[in-house]
Amino acid sequence: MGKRRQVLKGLAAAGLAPIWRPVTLFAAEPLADDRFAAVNTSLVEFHGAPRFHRFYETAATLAAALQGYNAGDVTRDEAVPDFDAALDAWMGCQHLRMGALELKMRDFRVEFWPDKKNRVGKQLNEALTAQRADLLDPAVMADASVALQGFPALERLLFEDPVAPGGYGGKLAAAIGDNLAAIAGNLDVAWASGGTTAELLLNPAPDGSRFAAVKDVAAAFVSALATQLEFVAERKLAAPLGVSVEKARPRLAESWRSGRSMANVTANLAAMVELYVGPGGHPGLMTLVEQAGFAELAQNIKTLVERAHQTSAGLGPDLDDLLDDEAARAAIETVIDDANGARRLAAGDMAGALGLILGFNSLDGD
Amino acid sequence: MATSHQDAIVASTWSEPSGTAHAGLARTTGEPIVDTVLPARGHGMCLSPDGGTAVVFARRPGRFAVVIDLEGREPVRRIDSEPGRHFYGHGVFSGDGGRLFATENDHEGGVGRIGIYDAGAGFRRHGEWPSHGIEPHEILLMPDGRRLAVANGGILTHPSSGRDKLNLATMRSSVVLLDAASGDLVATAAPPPDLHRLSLRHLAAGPDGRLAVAIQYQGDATDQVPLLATWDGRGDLRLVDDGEAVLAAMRNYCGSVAVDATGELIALTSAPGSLATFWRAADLKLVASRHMPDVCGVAATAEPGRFVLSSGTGGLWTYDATADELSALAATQRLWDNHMSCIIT
Repeated sequence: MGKRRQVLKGLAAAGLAPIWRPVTLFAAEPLADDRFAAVNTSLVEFHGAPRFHRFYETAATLAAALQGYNAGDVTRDEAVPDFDAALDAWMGCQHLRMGALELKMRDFRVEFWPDKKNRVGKQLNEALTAQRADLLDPAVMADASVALQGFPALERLLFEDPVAPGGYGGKLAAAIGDNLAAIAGNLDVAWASGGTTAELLLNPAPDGSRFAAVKDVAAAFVSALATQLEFVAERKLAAPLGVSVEKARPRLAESWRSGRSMANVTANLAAMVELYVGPGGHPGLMTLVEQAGFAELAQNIKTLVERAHQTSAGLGPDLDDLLDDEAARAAIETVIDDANGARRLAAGDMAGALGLILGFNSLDGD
Repeated sequence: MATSHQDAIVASTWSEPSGTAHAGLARTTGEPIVDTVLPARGHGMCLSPDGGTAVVFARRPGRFAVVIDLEGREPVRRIDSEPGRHFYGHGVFSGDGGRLFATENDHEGGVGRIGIYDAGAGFRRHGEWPSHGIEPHEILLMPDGRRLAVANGGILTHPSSGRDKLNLATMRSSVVLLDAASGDLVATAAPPPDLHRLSLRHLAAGPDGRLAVAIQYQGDATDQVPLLATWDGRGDLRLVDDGEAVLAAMRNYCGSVAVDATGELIALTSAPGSLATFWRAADLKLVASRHMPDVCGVAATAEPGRFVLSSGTGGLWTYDATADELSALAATQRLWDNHMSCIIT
């Protein structure tokens, strides 16, 4: 099968020997604040801001496409690439929860997931059955249950049992598209130059601001890296993969209805590569590790994150196609192992190298 | 008028970057007011009703507790656990301050005990009660002053094997109310059998006596289970709806819980998730969430809807639910440990 060959090629290209090992840390000279500040600035201006701007642009395009679909001017097939582009863009900024995204439940309004109890399905069916006209009012939608507001609800309307243009379902899809564009617009403004989140991240101060010091901002970026790597490995991959083909649980995957579960992971990991290695020649978290004198550690994390991304990208967009293929499952396992390995190094050795203690409570709780 | 959070004093254990373990009181700038060096890492800290004495317990399986005179008149006094017993990390004073209760392990019997210490007689141990479960962890005095609430974590350990968990297949956690004068069992509640791997470990009580329970889960890491419960001391626990997506980000491990001054809002922290979440106590509906690296300690202040939070990264924050606003109070070099309480001055 073509897919299997592709997977095996991907594995060979990735070179699968485990490369991370414990690094003995010594009390290095602490990095000066201006080193942290330079990386924070790079990540705000060249990682966060463009990614939220891209999310806004793609969400606005999607909203227009959904209005067009509802009006009968755009076919469903024409709208789907806009859905993909907006979801890819969201996956590229989902990890940046500090600041505007964690306010007003925006993260869950954009995407209520995992949805263990099928809240999205139940609430959407109720809304469709009752033809709730109030949800077409942007203010009501923005204040409605988070399960109705974002990508998971829209995905059902477009992929599960596609709604007809002009009917209530078509109007509801358009209203959800407008709501996503409005949220993305708020995020874009907050992260753009002079925006509230950009200001918080660039000008930390111990005066009741969200961040008290430049190191705290850097710690938030390191934490975002570690948290997202864990989320991808455990929730997005390990849970649906299961321990065997028989125990695979494809419905635990994210965005399975649109066949995009792996595409999401690939977009997430591409963002992790940029966060770590640095955006387009600008410094990333890796720069700090190198400046602290830990060149080998810096390189090991880079290898793991990049390999996880490349392996994922080689697997195609749809996880469901892969779950009963042993070679593909092995490749997914390597993505999980690499992401988890990078996460352990990021939260442990790397944080320690930067003088950021991340695991005092989380690795040794009670 | 309610005391401003800036004037609040927090009580906590912490580590210095050099690795030494401390306990004491600190301003919300992170500046210690009382700073006591501990023999090893501490865990829970309780205060006498008059505010003059603090007792810090070693983290489990701990052999010591330390009594600190907060006004510095008496030298620090050490309490060693009884032969055959060790501390689990938490304790509480009786309403009149005459007794100190400590959660303890009878490690040969494999059952939980509440050790009773006479505060007026040099903290001499003068008896014990059963905790009616395995691994009693946090203990607190209910607002009525007449009952004790104890979370039995349910996980059997033995000092010979450190913190290894010996009974996960059969574990059963519970919350119990005990008569604070007699130790008699007043009421008990436990998770349903299909959730027997939930470990109820940390507690907070609202002014109305409703308990909030922070839960850890000993099952599969990819399971999504309820990590918060409330209990009004009768009937069953009310478990948070496990369909709530934010639970997946809390990594099946909630380390601390607090109830605000009104009793209407619960703060729940997950250090592995680097996440603090805020819930309406009446119906356990999610109100807000905030990401803070390694956040764990959380305490209510005297202001409605206001909490102070601490992290192992050295950060102190305050969250104001009225404005839905999180603000940093301090960035310190101190690694704040799991728990914190707020002293209303």
